[in-house]
Amino acid sequence: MGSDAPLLTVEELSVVFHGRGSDEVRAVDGVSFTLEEGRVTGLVGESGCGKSVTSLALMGLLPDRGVRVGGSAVMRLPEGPVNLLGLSARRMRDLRGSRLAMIFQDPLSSLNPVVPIGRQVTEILRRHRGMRGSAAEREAADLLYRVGIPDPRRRLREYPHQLSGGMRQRALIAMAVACRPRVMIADEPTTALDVTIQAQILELLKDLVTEEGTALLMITHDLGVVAGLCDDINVLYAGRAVERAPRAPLFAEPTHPYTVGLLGSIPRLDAPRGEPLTPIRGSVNDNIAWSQGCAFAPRCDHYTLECLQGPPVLAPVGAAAGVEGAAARTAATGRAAAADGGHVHRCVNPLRAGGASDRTAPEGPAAVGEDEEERG
Amino acid sequence: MSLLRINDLKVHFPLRRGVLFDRTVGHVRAVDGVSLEIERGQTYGLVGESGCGKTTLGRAVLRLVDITAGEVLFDGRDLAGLDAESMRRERRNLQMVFQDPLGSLNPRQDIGSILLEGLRTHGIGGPPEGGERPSGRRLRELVLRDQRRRVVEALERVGLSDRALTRYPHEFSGGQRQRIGIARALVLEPDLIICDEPVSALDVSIQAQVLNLLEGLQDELGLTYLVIAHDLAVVRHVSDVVGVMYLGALVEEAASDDLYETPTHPYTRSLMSAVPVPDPEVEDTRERILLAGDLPSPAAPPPGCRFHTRCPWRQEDRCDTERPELRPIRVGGGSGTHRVACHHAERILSGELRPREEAAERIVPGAG
Repeated sequence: MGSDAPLLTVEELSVVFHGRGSDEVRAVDGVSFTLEEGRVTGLVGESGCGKSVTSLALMGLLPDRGVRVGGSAVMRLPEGPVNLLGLSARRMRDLRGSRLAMIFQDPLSSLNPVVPIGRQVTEILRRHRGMRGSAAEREAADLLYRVGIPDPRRRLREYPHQLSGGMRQRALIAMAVACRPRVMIADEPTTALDVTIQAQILELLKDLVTEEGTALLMITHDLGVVAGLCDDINVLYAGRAVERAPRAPLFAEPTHPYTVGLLGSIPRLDAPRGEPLTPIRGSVNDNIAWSQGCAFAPRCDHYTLECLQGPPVLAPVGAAAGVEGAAARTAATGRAAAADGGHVHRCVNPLRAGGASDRTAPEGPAAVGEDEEERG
Repeated sequence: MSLLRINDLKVHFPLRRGVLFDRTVGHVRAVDGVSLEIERGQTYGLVGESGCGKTTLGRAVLRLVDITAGEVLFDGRDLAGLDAESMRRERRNLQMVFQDPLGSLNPRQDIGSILLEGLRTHGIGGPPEGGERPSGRRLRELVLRDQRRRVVEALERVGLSDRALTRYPHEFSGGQRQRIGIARALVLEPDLIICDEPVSALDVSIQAQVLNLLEGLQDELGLTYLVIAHDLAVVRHVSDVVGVMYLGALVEEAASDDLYETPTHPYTRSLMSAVPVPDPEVEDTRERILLAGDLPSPAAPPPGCRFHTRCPWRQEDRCDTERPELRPIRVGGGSGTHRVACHHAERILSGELRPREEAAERIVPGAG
């Protein structure tokens, strides 16, 4: 193909759940990002930030009723660009598995427990590549071997419960890569696995991206995984991206208080011992609607009245008015900005680079929302 | 004297087969000879992957599972030999915080009754000592008032208020439920709290709140913790001493900093290299040892060193046949309490033995 246009361009994606007799829930509220060949894009956030719903919307796996999906997700195909969100169910079935594939979090529940692994892997070969009989079986064995499953011929006859967790995840990855999809979505692919197995799976994904040039959307809550794997990172909070940057600037100079808070919350293996963690106070339930202001304001230690005057916009870092040293920072992130959309954040009151240290986190007790006890 | 001392503890679960006759066809050796000591006021972190027996070990200390062999000396008394009633009384001093905060709180009990249950069971609370002891209804009233005071105090320690008393577990968020679980342990004023994966079910920002709470309570109340977790970074953060378990046995034990500075056992090394660090520069530059394969079955553990089937440093001579003991090792600059279960620890440490490439992929940045 050779063109450097992104493989998948997601713009202003929104997902609204509306049930009868209950309020609307905006799970995803205007998320935009692009997936490019041979690059890994990360969606990071805590539970409830809309990261999984984003992936389901892209794969067309949300139910028809009670859900409203807005925005666009344009995928570049050889026969021309198509908007994934506007496709018929039939057309989507053709694309799913062959052009875009998904790896789910829990490999045991996403494999059919009463069907041997072999049938499940060959199913996709039959459906999309028209392979039959021994040819399909040979290809399936080859796929399992490629993702690092020893003795694939025997494994093909086994059932999911006979495989270990890491092995099951490998089998799922084998199914995902069976048709060499251009776009792959991995939703927390290693969360259910042990660290040594996680390292194996991440290495496998990394190889797939570099060797096949697949575009990978990595959805995770683990900033450590993101640091090792992703090229571009979107930090989500309450359905919107609050910060987006290539990984080096994101970790070196996070500017959104939420990103800084997340980084301060993780005990690091290489940090000196005894250094206290600086958690974000409250919980995800303490937020306000984006339409009224910054949803993170109730948990933010730096919020001012300005934060509550309407929704903040996603602006380039350094463009925020009157922040000292802004010019220097613009220069620092300038090359990144030229390379890839740069470092943007959604905050009217951003932290200076390296602001993690001057952050004073009020300690637990008083900060745990009393009013929040009433909610679930 | 250390508060808790475990000597050669074994917990084996029988594997049964057959319809009419229960034949025992083997044992799952969940914990297979673990010895460790926890000093008063310290935090001992037990880390390992799923299936290594760390949770079973914690439950065995509380006698929630039957102990097959070995001693559990708590404050000098052997818990392994106690009858059920004495053990029940003893549990007042040993409490547990469980992993799943919703699953470990009864959904039909309000928080007040959950927290009072322990006090009632152990008959704690009553009018202050000395003075005249009232009787009958007046006594019950005083006992109840004192128990309520203790419950509210425990709730306030974990950052909740007495308004929680009449609410039910589903009304709280995950982090708050875990706080309630901690309050339930605290209310009995135990000496030792066993925390089994206290934060793994929580979001990162909430994790940090709970970890800080546990540390704060330890400083205030002089608690002793046994923290069981799979996350090495969490364990290192909270623990004074860390023990690494693999397939039912400790493979390495050291002061938290020593373990991080000089991990000696091949398993510890690969485990440590697999933990992701949220820093791209570190991630890009450090060496990683990727282990091949999965954990062997604890029902049929490999002979010799349990780790030899996956060990990149395996040697032909003793690893396959002779089980290494946990022995002290001198590590430069360490505090002298480093113990490791590896025949070749010194030679691995000095760099004399090199890992074999076919057993584990080593990723050295810049080389590929």
